[in-house]
Amino acid sequence: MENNYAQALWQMVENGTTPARAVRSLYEMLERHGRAALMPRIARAFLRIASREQARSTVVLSMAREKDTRAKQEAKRAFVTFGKGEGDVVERIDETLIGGWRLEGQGQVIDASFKKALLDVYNGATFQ
Amino acid sequence: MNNSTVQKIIKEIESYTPRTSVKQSGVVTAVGDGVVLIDGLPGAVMGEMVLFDETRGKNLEHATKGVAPLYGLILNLEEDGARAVLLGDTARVSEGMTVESTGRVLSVPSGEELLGRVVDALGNPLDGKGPFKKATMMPVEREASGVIDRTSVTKPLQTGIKAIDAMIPIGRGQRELIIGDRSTGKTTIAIDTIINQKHELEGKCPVCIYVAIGQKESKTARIAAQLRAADALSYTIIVDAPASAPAALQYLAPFAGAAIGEYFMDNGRDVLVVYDDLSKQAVAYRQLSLLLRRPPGREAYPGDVFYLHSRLLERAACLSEEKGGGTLTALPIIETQDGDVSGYIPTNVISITDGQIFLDSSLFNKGVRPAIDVGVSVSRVGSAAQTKAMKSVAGTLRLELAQFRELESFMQFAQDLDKATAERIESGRRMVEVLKQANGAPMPFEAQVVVLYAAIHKTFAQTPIDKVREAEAKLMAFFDAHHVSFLEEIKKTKALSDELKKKLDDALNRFQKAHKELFV
Repeated sequence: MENNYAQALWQMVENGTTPARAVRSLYEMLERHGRAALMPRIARAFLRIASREQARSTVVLSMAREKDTRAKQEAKRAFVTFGKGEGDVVERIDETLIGGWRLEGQGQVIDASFKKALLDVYNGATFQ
Repeated sequence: MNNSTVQKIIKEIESYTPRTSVKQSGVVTAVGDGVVLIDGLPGAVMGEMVLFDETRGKNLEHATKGVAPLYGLILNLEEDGARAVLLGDTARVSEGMTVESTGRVLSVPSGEELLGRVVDALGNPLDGKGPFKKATMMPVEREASGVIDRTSVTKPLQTGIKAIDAMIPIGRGQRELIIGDRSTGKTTIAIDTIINQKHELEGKCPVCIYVAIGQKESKTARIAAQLRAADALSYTIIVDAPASAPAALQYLAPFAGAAIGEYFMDNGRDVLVVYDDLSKQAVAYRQLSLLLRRPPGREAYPGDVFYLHSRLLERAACLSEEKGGGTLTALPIIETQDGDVSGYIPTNVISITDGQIFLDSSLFNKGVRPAIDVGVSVSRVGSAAQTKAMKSVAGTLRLELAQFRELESFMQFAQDLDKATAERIESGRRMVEVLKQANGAPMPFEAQVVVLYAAIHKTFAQTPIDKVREAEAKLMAFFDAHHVSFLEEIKKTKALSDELKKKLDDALNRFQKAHKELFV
């Protein structure tokens, strides 16, 4: 139930209602229905939605080494897929990738890492 | 590392082309009971396979620990994500794990290589004989052949069981349900049918697929051993989704069996698929549906449980010559509770199939085995496929047996019986004896014709009832010793000409003279 209320709150704010007004309206409605005790749970559900939405909109570029200019140049060409410029992408170092790059976010992933290539070869030779 | 492994790796590296395509991704938000709730995957489609990324944050050494990649199957599409069933161990999935779409529907390997093998519902070998090298991948879910691609069922599928081949004949491409209570011999009929295919002429033997759903591993092992002992495993594939397998695999196993069979059917071969049993598949599907939060209907089965079986059994077909002329015969098995055929799943499957073989526990307990209730059993299309020879000997058999059953129940109340009635009862009893058959001993078609011909022509009329089966065995031994060419002619022509009938009458007279002890 709290998920539905949190979802409604999120949509109210997205549709232009100020956060303070949205929360007040929700609280008044819950109080009228004798459900004010749900408020802390709704807050937690709202946080979950917020973090999920943030994770969805964030695009992360993972590389094996910090100064891998070649990988970065190759990855830049893929930014357009996500509708992002260079400054909008969060960069992370993931040494387990061995080399290459991996771009993920907005429900999509492009994996051009060496680790992925080696795992494809391993799985092809071992399990097929 | 041995040489073949090195060669395999070199081959993989040589054929490797880097794929950096954009894939849809999502995140696992909840997992339990084989069902995963995935957030994201905006472009996922129903029935698509998704790959769980277990390698994230692990170095290559830990990522290659010898376990196959873990896949799931999308079965529910929701507003913010999807629900998928796991095709592997639930313990390998954790919250926050990345899931990637593959753009592939579930497929299983099929081909000649699979003959004689035991595989799981995903086509992975279970018999330790190594992986398949030249298998063709077949989609597990495929639309059934259309009206234009099909033709009428005309070729018989001999089960080797006298009662079935004579009274409830099955044609290649037919769907014949085997239904009955537990321990009434349902699996035995299916296995005997598989074993009997070895009697087929060279090149006519169908590929047999036995799909074990929710069965005990020990039972499947016993069946595999029985098939091996009878030299029937070489043309048989066993698809095993045991009771210990996840519900998703038990649900998928019959579809995998059908997919494997379709490969052979598409190549013009005849295929026989036994689904043992679909009631367990329905239970597995009910479990999955409830876990997927689909609304429950009658007996808590989901609303599409009829479609589950209809789309599976509709894949049985007799293809036209233009399509190669292959056939896929389905023998689904349904277990009833206390003889109740009016249950939800039994009535569904009865209405889908082209007939049913009903096994009666009371007949079984009386020693009538196979315990086929001829009155309730029916084959709607098989008679068109019955051979002339069998038709000529089995024409009145069904009626005679039905009359005998009526008289038998009447006899329990009547004191005195007139001569004609008493004779009919005696004749019926002998016929019941003739139709009895031992487990694992299917009878070739030509032998059945001879035995049934002898029975309807009152050859055993003077034989004591307890010696009818002995007389039948001796009759076959007599024909094997003295009239092999006669049996071969019936097998070849599949008809009983007047000349053959005359020869048969002479042979039966000689048999009666040679075994006077059996005719008192």
